[in-house]
Amino acid sequence: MGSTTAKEIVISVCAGTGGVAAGGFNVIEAFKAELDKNGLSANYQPRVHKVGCRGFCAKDVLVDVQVDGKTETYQFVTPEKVAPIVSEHIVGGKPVKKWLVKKDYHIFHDKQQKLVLANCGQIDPESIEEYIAAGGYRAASKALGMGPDEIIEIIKASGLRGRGGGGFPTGIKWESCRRASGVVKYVLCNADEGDPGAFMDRSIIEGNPHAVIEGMIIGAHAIGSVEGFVYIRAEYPLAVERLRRALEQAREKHFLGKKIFGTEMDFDIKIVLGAGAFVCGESTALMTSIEDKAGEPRPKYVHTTDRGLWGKPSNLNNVETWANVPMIIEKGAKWYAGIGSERSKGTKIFSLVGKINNTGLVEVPMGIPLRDVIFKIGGGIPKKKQFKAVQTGGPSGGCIPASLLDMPLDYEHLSEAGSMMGSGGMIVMDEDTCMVDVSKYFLQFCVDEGCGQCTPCREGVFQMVRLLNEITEGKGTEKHIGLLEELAATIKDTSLCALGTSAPNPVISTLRYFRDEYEAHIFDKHCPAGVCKALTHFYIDADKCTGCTLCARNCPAGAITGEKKEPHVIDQDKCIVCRICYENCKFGAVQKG
Amino acid sequence: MDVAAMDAILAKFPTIRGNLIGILHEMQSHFNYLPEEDLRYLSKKTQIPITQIYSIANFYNRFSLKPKGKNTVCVCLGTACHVKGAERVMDEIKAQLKVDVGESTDDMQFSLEEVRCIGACSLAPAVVVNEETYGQVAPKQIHGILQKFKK
Amino acid sequence: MPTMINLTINGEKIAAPEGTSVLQAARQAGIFIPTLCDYEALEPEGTCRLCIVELSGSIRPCIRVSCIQEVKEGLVVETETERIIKNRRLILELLLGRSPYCRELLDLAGKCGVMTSRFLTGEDDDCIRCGRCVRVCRDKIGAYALCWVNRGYNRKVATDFERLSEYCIGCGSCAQVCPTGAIKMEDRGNQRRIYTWGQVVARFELEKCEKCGRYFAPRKYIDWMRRKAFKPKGIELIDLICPECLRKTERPAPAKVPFGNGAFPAW
Ligand SMILES: Cc1cc2nc3c(=O)[nH]c(=O)nc-3n(C[C@H](O)[C@H](O)[C@H](O)COP(=O)(O)O)c2cc1C
Ligand code: SF4
Ligand code: FES
Repeated sequence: MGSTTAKEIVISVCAGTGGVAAGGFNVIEAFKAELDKNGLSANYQPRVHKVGCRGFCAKDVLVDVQVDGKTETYQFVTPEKVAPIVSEHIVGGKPVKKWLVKKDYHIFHDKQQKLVLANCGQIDPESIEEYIAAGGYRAASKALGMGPDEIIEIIKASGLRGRGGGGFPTGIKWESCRRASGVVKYVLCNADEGDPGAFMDRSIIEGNPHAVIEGMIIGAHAIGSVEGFVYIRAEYPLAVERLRRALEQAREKHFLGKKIFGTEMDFDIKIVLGAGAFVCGESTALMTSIEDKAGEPRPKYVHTTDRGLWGKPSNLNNVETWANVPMIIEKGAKWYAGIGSERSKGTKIFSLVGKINNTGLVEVPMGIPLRDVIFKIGGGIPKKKQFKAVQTGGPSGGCIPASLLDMPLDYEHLSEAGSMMGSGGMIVMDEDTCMVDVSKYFLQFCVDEGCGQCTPCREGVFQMVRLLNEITEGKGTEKHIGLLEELAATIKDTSLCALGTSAPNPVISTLRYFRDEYEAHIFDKHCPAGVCKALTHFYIDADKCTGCTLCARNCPAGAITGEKKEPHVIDQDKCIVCRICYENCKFGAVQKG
Repeated sequence: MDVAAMDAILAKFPTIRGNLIGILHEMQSHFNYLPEEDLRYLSKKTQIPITQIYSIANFYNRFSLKPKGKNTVCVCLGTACHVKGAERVMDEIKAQLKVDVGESTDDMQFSLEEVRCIGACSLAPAVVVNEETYGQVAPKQIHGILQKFKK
Repeated sequence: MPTMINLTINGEKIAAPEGTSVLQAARQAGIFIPTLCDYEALEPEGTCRLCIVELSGSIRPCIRVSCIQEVKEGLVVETETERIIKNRRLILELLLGRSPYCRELLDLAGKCGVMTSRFLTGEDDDCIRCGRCVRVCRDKIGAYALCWVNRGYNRKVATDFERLSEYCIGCGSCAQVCPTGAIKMEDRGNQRRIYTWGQVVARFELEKCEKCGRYFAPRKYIDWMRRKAFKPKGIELIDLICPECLRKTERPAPAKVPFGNGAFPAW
């Protein structure tokens, strides 16, 4: 029998993809077993539940232990740590200090404003009851009592804009779909999230799937639709599973199906799985894909709000856009329009990844300076390296250099800087990242992922990659940059869909801000970041080398020799330029040249 | 060709319209690839031209027309993983399995694939074996990970 | 009378019936716009991007393909601006990069002022991926013998499982609509072969005309013709008669079938 006097025990274990990969489910089991063992289960009915991602996956498994309303958060929890946490903290009343989250966890959260993600990390995503207890489905029920035009006016007045890339005003899109002629109309949710480096939509669905469903119900009522689709990537099995479960629960509660919420309205949502094609995130391709075809985009001379899925008026919005809807209905347009910057309202979720200390998902009000996100929330660059650029907007976006760090983050400023909001991926790069290599990476991505219908994208982007390859291999000539620019202009002007028209953006923006790097590759045959193998070599600074032998032991090519406590040398013929010695040397003795 | 399995899969779908990709997903997970005979059977049953089915099977990355190994090793080459050295992990796996991307080992134990971002960027570089995600993978861990799945 | 729409192309005032494309309107006015994927009897897909034009006037200024853009009251179209010419030439260069010896493409490129390509890939493939063959086979013939496989740079036309097609009826429409001759039909004796770059699509035995004794069409195609062209008119065609002899008989001419001229040159 435990000696605690506590009455209420809630243990929330992070179980998003990050948490699960780090062993979240084992931790849940361990807690349950340990609470049983201590006899707490019988007397206090403790609740051990899984919650969605709270954004800071790098610290997983994160666990909130709440005893009588007082919450402490533990990081890097493993099943082995559970017994001491239960006995010392829950039973003994003394939190295990050494495993608690540190200052960085609090800094990470302090500057954020969690609206869309408010429930993630708080409620069990697999329980509709918890969502309802947190105020869920109130907005839908309210909206169903309102007229469609009234809802559309609210959404318009809120200033909500699409979170999937283009930033198109959501209310206006709904209105055109509502006005389009036709009885059958569809509402669709884009959960294809193909941008590499982005995972906000996954986290929303994994952590709070009902918010998306609720948003879609409201939208369906406003637009006049009885059938909805969520197009979701098959690469997100956990999200698919949670969404499926959430839909079932909503049907049981008569929030979906016939006569929902006791009104005359019918509405149901179907899940459609993607199958691994980035281009299917494009609106027309997404619809062709649902129509049992290869996901090839169509020219958009007629809007999909007039003629979309199966030729019917269709309204497509991104996951995050839908998840914003319930709170706007609940709290009003004025409240929402009060958040954010002048023309970009509300919050935006970014996934902060790459060379950054606090990797994770952050939700901030629009218009927050980029610097705050990277250096405050993100905690800056690891290993005291220099910040070089941040890439936003995925393969369609661009790189923003250090000189623009004070720029406010919103749709307008990002496009002015030659990038775009995109879906919110934010990849931080430091001095060790080569901008030519990064551009090549994104363009190669578009070559692999483009559908291949139209000439400029299919042939043109391929040619751009070829040119970039030659540059990184040291075969660049003065003609290369000109050709790249010529191709970029034509591809932008003439491609059929936005994948093509935006494919050259990474090159255009790096040429704008980091032209010197291209020139170093071409004229000096030198890769300043030491990434491009043909243009880099590593050598050991004899003055700094202490002869610790670490590099020699780790070199996969056996290229480093030297006596213990004596300076080592790299045999350039054997070196495969893998960077391992450079990254591992504790004394900064390995230099790139 | 496995008529019973195909009929069972088809029975899961009340309508064909809008479900072709779902059916192919089911087939892929049941057979571990899309066998020609079964695709032809699907075409006959659903009246969807075989060329349309074949085209789709080729278009989407998740579908494979060649048998795949028992375990699928999938290396994430998304941006975050790329920046954090996923190529080195990939090279190591290639060397250990002696296969290239898209191929299977001779003993059909492993197939090697790449994916552009599984959305686990905070775990970069990430490797997924079957359903299990490994984060912050270093080349030297590869041997151990693969060993776990070897029979 | 269809409603006429007024627009301006290259400064010239033009009226075109509602629903026609800018490309058709331009052609009617004698203005040349290069095209590859467009074919009059097929739904335009707008993928080769050669027919781009600059639009303004009643819509926001933009570049669009004229084969899909419908005429619109007050539309101002420019087909030969510096920007259009530059883009068009680059697209042609890109196509030539993979099909450097393709006669038809070289001719069109020449007309547009492109002599050589800076983007040679070492490939020599006459298919320029316009997709006309796939579309005619699918949308007009309904045989579904051809399809696209792979995506991106590796996109190509193929049959199911890239083997001899069971579904091909041997009509030769694909060869007829191909702008470059990348897909060909060849009759030799009683044998017909449809083949492309590196793949034989299908082989057929030809049937003999009962009147003149000439080999003229494969069985599958004759059956198809009967269904499409004669059945709607309630006429049964019992004998195997080649089109030339057919014309000399008393029978009423069949409904016009826009494809398959390879087999029925007289139509
Ligand atoms: C190549 C390409 C990929 C896209 N991928 C996505 C995606 O993964 N998720 C998404 O929501 N929007 C994506 N979009 C944007 C969509 O086409 C569409 O604009 C968006 O889903 C509309 O929703 P919103 O108005 O709520 O942003 C993509 C666009 C392009 C051109
Ligand atoms: S731009 Fe690229 S992805 Fe879009 S239609 Fe053209 S080839 Fe396909
Ligand atoms: S003819 Fe218009 S795009 Fe090809």
